[in-house]
Amino acid sequence: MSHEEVRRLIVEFGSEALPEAVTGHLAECSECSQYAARIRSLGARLADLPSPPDLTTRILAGLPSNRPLRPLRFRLVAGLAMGAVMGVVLMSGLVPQAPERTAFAAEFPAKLLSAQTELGGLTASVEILEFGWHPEVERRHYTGTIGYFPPESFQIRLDDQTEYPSDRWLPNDVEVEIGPGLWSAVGVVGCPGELQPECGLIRTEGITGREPFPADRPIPLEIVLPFDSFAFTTRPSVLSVERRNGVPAAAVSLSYAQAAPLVEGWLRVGNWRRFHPSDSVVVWLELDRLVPVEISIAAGVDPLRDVWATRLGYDDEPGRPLLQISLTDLDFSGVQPSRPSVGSAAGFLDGPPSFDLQILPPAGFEVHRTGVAEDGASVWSYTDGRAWVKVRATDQWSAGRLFGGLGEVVTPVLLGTAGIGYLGGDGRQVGIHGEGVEAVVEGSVGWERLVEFAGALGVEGREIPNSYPEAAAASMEAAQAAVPTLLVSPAAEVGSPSVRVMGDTVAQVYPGSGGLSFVLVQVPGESVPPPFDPDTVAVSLRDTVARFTPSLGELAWVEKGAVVSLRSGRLGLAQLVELAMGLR
Amino acid sequence: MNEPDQELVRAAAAGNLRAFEELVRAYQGPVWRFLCRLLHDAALAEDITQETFVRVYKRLDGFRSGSRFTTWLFQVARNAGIDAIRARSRRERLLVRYGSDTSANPPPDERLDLETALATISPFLREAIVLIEVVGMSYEEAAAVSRVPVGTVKSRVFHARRRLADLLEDKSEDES
Repeated sequence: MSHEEVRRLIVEFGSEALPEAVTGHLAECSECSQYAARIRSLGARLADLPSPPDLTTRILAGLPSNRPLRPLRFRLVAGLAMGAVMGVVLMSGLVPQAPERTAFAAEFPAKLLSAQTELGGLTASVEILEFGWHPEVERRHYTGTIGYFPPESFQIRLDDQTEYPSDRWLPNDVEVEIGPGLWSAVGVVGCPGELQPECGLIRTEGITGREPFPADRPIPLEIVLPFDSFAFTTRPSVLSVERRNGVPAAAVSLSYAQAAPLVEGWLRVGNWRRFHPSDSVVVWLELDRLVPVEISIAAGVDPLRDVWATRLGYDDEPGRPLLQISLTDLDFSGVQPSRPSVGSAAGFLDGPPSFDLQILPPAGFEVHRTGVAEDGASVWSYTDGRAWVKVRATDQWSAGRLFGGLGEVVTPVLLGTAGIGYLGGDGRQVGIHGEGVEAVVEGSVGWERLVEFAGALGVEGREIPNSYPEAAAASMEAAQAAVPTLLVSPAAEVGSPSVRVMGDTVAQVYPGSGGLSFVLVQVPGESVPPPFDPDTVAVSLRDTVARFTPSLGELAWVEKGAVVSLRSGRLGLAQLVELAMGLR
Repeated sequence: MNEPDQELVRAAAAGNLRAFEELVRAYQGPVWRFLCRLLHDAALAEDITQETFVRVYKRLDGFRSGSRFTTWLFQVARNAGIDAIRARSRRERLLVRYGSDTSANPPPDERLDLETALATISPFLREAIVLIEVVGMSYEEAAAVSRVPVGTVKSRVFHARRRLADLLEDKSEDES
């Protein structure tokens, strides 16, 4: 075989196995052998490229907003339509699941509970990019640090590195210091974009004597582990499992409404851009401790989002990145932040409560703080790592309703051998009507453990009097008996509803992860009440025309002789329509 | 090359941005690697990768379910890449006309590395060998992307290998 013939075959076969005749020739011909080595190494040399850059954000940001779409699942009725309507497909179950994604998703609920008791503290460097805050300041850049020391100490420092058009613009620097009973913050007061830069004002606040884990200006524990944002999540939508910001992490996709407690934990102090309920969020959770090491928010798709954005002066196209928060240099030992400066007193007195309860805290939990709140309630709090539970109780209650602000739609629950309790509609509180004592328990442990804990307060729960508004609480069976055409929601990310029946009117309150809670009411009737909101729009769904009232967050329509109302303070039109379409 | 779940493609075609984002995450790497070698310019490859996915996004409605998504994706990437090569050629011709310095064609005595060797062969040969050796496609898949018979792809890969080997041999001889 000639050299020419051998070389032709070498090229033809490339990296595949060569015929014996060729290998025999190569054993004796060094020139052809070198030629073969050169050809065989070509593939590896060609494929030897650096790691591809992650262009996802850039690609999504560059997408046009006017792609023609397939037939829509719902449309605004002609004449009332504002902007294009896009169909929304729930992602659950769509993404093909690689084994590590499947495993993470399956273990997630248990991991969420265990991770927060194992978190011993956290310090990290922070970088934030904020897009589209103001037409003259397209991008803002922040660097800073966070420090968390359980159970109740937190520190956020953010330095605004943005180059503003002039020094009339105030940098959005943020400083938050939280300690047991203490809260202080320095930041720019929120101000509409059209009034910038003149309206900037820096506010310094300081509060002492705070109750443990209060609802007002809460400690932003979601930043270190987003328990509330996933409180009713049984299987998260996992996009990917890989290294992110130097740690192994899983990317989980969720709506802004669901991620609201997490995002708002970051942005409570300062002057930030706003987000629409339809905006999409990807959170990268560190695999072991579920610390959100990266949060990306992109503009979502909703018929009314354009109107909302225009009013706020935002130029957001669907998919455009709006905010990215990255945590690096994670240290889990935790550093005790400095104590905040003094300020106005919130009225909580640390010390012994005003009466005794024989409370048995959950296993692993230790007493944190006790005392008496400004409203006279006695308070006991217990913590284990980031996890906390709290009891508020009073022996001075004559308000004719359940103590604790549970709302009127509750679910009676059995407290083991301790009688009966009432689970609030949001699934985050359990109220007890005892003999001479009213109590409510809350915490970051999930509703089932809250019910368990409520049974260990040493208070025998009794049935509430019929005169209490919560006495209309009913089982789903009773509701179905009252309204045979009762609609129910099978939506993901929500828990079982609390139900209230008043004659043939039924209200169902669905508790949800983050801000995904909603209320579904069926009232006998043939027409929805006249509109009062000038922004009301009509939507075609379920073979009828529904009305969406933005100021109420309510979608209402008539179906089978009943006016159906679907209402949420957090969800946008597209999400409410998706829920409405799924009702059975 | 692995095909995405048909449901995912359908969701993206229906306007679901999260589904589209999933496609971007899954395929931006192979597309960038293909374009990086085709254009021998990493920064330009980033731009054209973005352009590719914008084109895909605009035309997803017209994508026929049942077709291979990856074949279609790389057809779009190839066309975007060829457009970029043509645009660059026009620009380089203009630069030459106005007396600007361009190093698109290295002088004969310049030593050739793989990058430069690849840049000197025809884009069609380059496309074929990159689809096979870098993207890891079969001859049949590469033929579908380039819209030519399988035999043509085999011939192009053959000539590309021989030309590259010759050019790299020149380099090693120069070095010695």
